[in-house]
Formats: sequence, C-alpha cells, structure tokens
Amino acid sequence: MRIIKKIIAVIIITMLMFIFGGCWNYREIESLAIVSCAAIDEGENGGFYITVETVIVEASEGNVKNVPQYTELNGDTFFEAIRDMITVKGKKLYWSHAKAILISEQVAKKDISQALDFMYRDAEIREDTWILIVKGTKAGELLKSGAEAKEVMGFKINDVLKAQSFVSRFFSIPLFDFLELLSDPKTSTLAPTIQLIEVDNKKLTQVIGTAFFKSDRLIGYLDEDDSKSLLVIRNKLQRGLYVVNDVTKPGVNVALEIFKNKTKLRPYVQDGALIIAINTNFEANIAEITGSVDLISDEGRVKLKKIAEKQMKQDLEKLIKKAQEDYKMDFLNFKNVIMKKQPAVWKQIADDWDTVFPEIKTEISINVHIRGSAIVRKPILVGE
Amino acid sequence: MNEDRLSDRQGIRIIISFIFGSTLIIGSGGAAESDAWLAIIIAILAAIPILMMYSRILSHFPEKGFFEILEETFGKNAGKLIALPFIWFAFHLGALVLRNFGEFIITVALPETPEIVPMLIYVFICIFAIKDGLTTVANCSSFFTYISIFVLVLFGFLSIPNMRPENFEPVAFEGIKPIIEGAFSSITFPFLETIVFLMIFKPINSNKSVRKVFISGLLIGGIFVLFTTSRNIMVLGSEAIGTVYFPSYAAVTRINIGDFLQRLEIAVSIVFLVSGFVKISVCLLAASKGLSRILGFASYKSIVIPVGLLMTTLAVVVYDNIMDMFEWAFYIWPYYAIVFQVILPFLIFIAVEIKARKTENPQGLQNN
Repeated sequence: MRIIKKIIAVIIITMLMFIFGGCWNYREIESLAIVSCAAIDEGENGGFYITVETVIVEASEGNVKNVPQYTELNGDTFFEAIRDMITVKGKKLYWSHAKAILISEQVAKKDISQALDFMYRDAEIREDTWILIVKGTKAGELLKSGAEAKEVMGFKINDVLKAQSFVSRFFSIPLFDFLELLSDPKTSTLAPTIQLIEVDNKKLTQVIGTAFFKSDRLIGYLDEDDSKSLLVIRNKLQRGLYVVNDVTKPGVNVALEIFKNKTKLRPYVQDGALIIAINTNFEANIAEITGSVDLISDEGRVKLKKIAEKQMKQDLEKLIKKAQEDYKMDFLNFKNVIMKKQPAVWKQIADDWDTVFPEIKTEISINVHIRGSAIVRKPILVGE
Repeated sequence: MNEDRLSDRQGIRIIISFIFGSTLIIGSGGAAESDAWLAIIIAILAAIPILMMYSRILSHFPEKGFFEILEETFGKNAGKLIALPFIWFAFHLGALVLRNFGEFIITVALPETPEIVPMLIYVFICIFAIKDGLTTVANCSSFFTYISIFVLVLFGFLSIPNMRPENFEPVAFEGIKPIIEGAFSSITFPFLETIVFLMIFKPINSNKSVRKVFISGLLIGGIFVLFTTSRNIMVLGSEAIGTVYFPSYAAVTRINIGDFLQRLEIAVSIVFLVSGFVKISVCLLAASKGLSRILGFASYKSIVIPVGLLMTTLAVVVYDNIMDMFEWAFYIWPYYAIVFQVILPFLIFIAVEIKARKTENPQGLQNN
C-alpha cells in the first residue's frame, strides 16, 4: 500500500511539474518589441501622435549591434496609441527598458500631465526614465534622426544625461522627480531640452539648456549658463567647467574645472523682510588659461579668485532676477527651503506665495577655492 | 495538545513575521506623511500596555486556551457567543492579507492573470502548513524571519545613495493631528493585529513568558517597520508616499548601483511572501480553532480546508478593486479593528480578572 501511495504521489508531482512549470503571463523574447525611447507629439483631434523607437539586435560578421526601428501612430490617449501599435508591429511593446521620453514643445505647452499619466501609473515603465523637452522640431523627427547612423536614440540620451555631472549644462530629471515637482503647485517643474543641430549637413542631437513649467504648462527656457547657475542654487552641481571671462585684461579667459560644489540656502527673517542667504563653496582647478597672464602666483590667484567670485555672483543674480522679476516663478526651490527650515514663516506666506516670492531678498556669498593648476605650474609665457 | 506549544524564541519570531506580514508592502501610518516615523513610534509605545493586557488574560488560566477561558469565565454558551466576533476577526484579517497579496502580485507582476490564481496557490500552502500544526508554521517563521530581516537590511543599505534626509523636514508641519491619525492607523495595523495570537497561544511556560513573547515580538518587529518606513520617506519624499500603492516596492525600484545592481524590486516580494504566509496561516489557524471549538469538534484539522477556501472566497469578494482596498485599509479599518483589538478584549480582561480573584480567593468573597 505504502509503495503504491508513493508511486501515485510521484506521478502526480511529475504531472504538476508540467502544468505549473509555466507562467500565466509567459512572454517569449522574440514576441516582444523592446522600447528604448518614445516621442510624444500633438496628434489630430487633440490626441497624441506617438513615435516609438524599438531595438532589435542584429548580428553581422561576428558583431552584435543594436539597430533602431520606428513605429508611429495616432491615438486619443498615449496608452491607446501604443496598444494599437500591435496592429502595426505585430508585437507587444515592452517598456521596462525605455530610457527616455521625449515630449514636444507643443504638447508641453498645452498640458504635459496628460501625456505622462500613463507612465506613472503603469508598472512596466520604470520610474527612472528620463524626461526631455524637444525644442524647435517635432519630437518624432528628432527621435528618427538616429536612423541613418543606426544609432539608438534612447541609449544615447541616457548616456548624455548621466554625464550631466561633467558638463552641467542642463538639469536632468527622472520621471519620479519630475512628477513630484509637477504635483506641487507652488514650485516650478524643470526638464532638460534636446534639440537638433546641423553639423556638416548631418543632423545631430544635443541636450542643452533647461525648460521650466508653471504647473503643467511649459513657460520658458533657460540657456546653458543659466542652467549651470540653477544647478548651483539647487545644490545639484557636481562637476563641470566654469569660464571666467576677461581676467585682468580683455580676451583672457580662464576655465576653472570644478571638482566640488556645495550650496546651502538659509532663509531668515529680518525686520519683517524674508531673506535667503545663499552660501556656496567651489573647489576648482585652473584648467585652461587663454593668454599669457600670470594667475598661478599668490597674487594672481587672489586676483583670479576675486574675479571668479564676482562673475559667479553676477550669474546667480541674473538667474534669480529672471525667476523673480521676469517670470515670477520659483524654479529655484526657495519654497521647499523655506518650508523645511522655517515652517512657521511658510505657514504665514503660503497663501500669498505668488506675491511674496518676487519680494524675497537674497544674500549671495561665494567662496572659490583654487586647489591647483593641473600639471603645469606656469602659464605659457610668450616672449614679447 | 502538546504539539501546539511553542518555545519563547519561536513565539517571538512568529510574531515578528506576523507584524512584517503585509505592513512592509502597503506601508503603515501613511496619514502622517513625512511624520509617519513619529506615528509608528507612538503606536509601538501605545501598543505595549495593550499587549500586556492580552498576556494577562492568558496568564490567569494556565493550560487553557483563549476560547476555553471565555467559556470558563462567561459560561458555556455565553463564552461561545463572545468567541464569535474574534473568530470573525481572524477570518476576515486572513482574507484581507490574502487579498493584499493577490492585489500586489497582479499589480506589479502579472496584470493579466486572474487574481484568484496566486491567491489559491498561496492559501493551499497555508492550509498544508496548518494541517501539520502550529509548530510547523513556527519552525518556518523562525527561518523566514532571518530571510526577511536579511532582505530588509540589505535593501536598507542599498538605498543609502537615494536617501534624502531632508525629506523628514519639516517635522509636524501640519500639526499634531495627522500624526495621531497615523499612529491610530498604525496601532491597529499591524501592531494590535497580534490579538490573533491570543487565540492560538497557550500559556507557554509562565505568565512572564507570554508577556515576554508579545513585547519582544512587538519591539523587534516594530523597529524594522520603523526602519523601513523611514527609509521609504527618505527615498520617496512625502508626496510620493501618499500616491504610490506599495511604497517599499517603489523605493527599491530606485536602487541603481553602478548600472549593475538594479531592478531588484521583485525581491521585495520575498519579504511579503514569507511573512504573509505566516500571517495568513496564523489567522487561518485561529479561525479554524475557534470554529471547531464552537461546533464541538475534537480537532480543528478537519475544518482547515473549508475555512481556508471560504477565506479565499471572502478575499475575492471583499473589495471591488485596489482603490477600495486602500480606502478600507487606511480610513475604515482602524475604527473597525479597534473594537476587536481594544474594546472587547478590555471587557473580557475585566471579567477574567474578577473571575480569577473569585477562584483564587473563594473564602474572602464568601465573607463579603
């Protein structure tokens, strides 16, 4: 009896192995179209026109290469458009590897939250996907510009944005941070901009500058220098170059390579006025001097330091003026600083934030510490 | 029923696993947003005296279970009547945890699978374990607790690059009210859900021992809940804490170490799987035990399967969708659960105390 029981058990287990060994939502890799990037444009009848870049792996002569393919479709909602793409491609799109979402200027100017809701809600799209605003051209056109060179745009953009710390010319933002900023009506949302540039009759993409939003509408752009100041104020600057112009005599520019930057914002109230003290410290190397000027010696360094600090201060003031006077929009993160450091003050001003914000005074103090001059002790001295 | 006797260590670990249960997935004290950590500390402190009350109910009658104590105290029929709401509570709680599990699986991993499939498979494992007795579950949980703690600590460390301690600021910005609300919600889910253990524990060795098991289980489990909640606040920020369904899952999604160590989120479900198993099994055991006692069966084992299947059915019909589930878990559950967790036990506690004094001191009472 015992043995029979055992045999029956073994048979049942073996049978179950075949039944349960599979997966209900089983997907073969061949049946998936792996999405690397998506572009959202305005469509007909107020819908969206979606361009999706998918990657296929092509092996040729021993090399394995990722080759992009494009699918375009119109839809009332984002999800409808991408679902309908099955009717075009015959494969279901697989979103977990999507690196970036490109949103055209027109869509961003109308209402960006409509376009992004699905990406937040769906479990397959990862929250760390990058968000970019396409300036000048249609998003789909920009996405397809990699077709000729067989360049996968999504992977390229991912590499560029991750290198933000070296160039500091735009404000890179993943989906989750973007949506967090979007959900706060009192601060402005930010996203890097991408544009097509033409070099030797070839179209190339470049990520440069930053776009900012009032609630869910695109309002304006910051150029690359303002973007750098923005990174400084928001304490996001890690590395990058800073060019000091016209040191001691016109035409002499010094490039400082920044190694470390730490910015602290401290709000306080004095005589009824709200003041934010911006205190920032740079650690930099002299990386390049265009001109034969001695800036390495003690005196020269002090001079350079002073000029650099002055120029940086002007840059920051320019950006703050833009925020407070031109646009009256808080993309400088002042709101959160006040709320976190001075909750009592914030409670008083929260309701009138739009009128209070332009009136906030700032105190900027900058300290540049020049820690070296790369591997050379002296500038190239030209005999005169 | 010697098999149902646990050692202190097993008791503590089974409580830890029970507290981990669904809490670490759906979060606790969410009403307090960035002050959820404060709410949880308050909840743990407030839960201690109540757990002491639970252990005192058990300690007066050595060698007797909760349902026997009720019958002893209130008489045979009244005792059975009073046992009913507790059986319902255990049964209902088991169904809710099961539904949480099913909802989690279909939301994050298998959206096209019918929800009942993962739930059924899961409940069969629980039935299987419970048929072997509490000791089996206890042994499993001794082992599972290590797995859970290992995963929690590991993911805690891996999250460090994403942590933004300034997310804690400002403390108590909205005042004390949300914190109290959060604490209230967090005391009823998960800390006082341990009332289910009242129904399955027998006094282990002595009075001291039951108390020790309850309190150490609560403290160790509570510390990890606190730790995970703080991690989630630091990683996600107060905005996102309020908008995502599964905060721990969302927080782990953001782990990306050198582009190599990433996409670990599905491993979070390990904690849920192993500790949810313990939680559902304990609820199933409590419900089966109580029901068999009321119906006068010799052993609870014969009704484990029907109770388990009924629990699955309830889990399927109890909510319409995930939105309902969270609405219930955060806004209605505290008021509902407090009846079973504090009010009824307190009345029983008083009755048991009076009864115990009478039996201990019959002479004195006659003199009065």
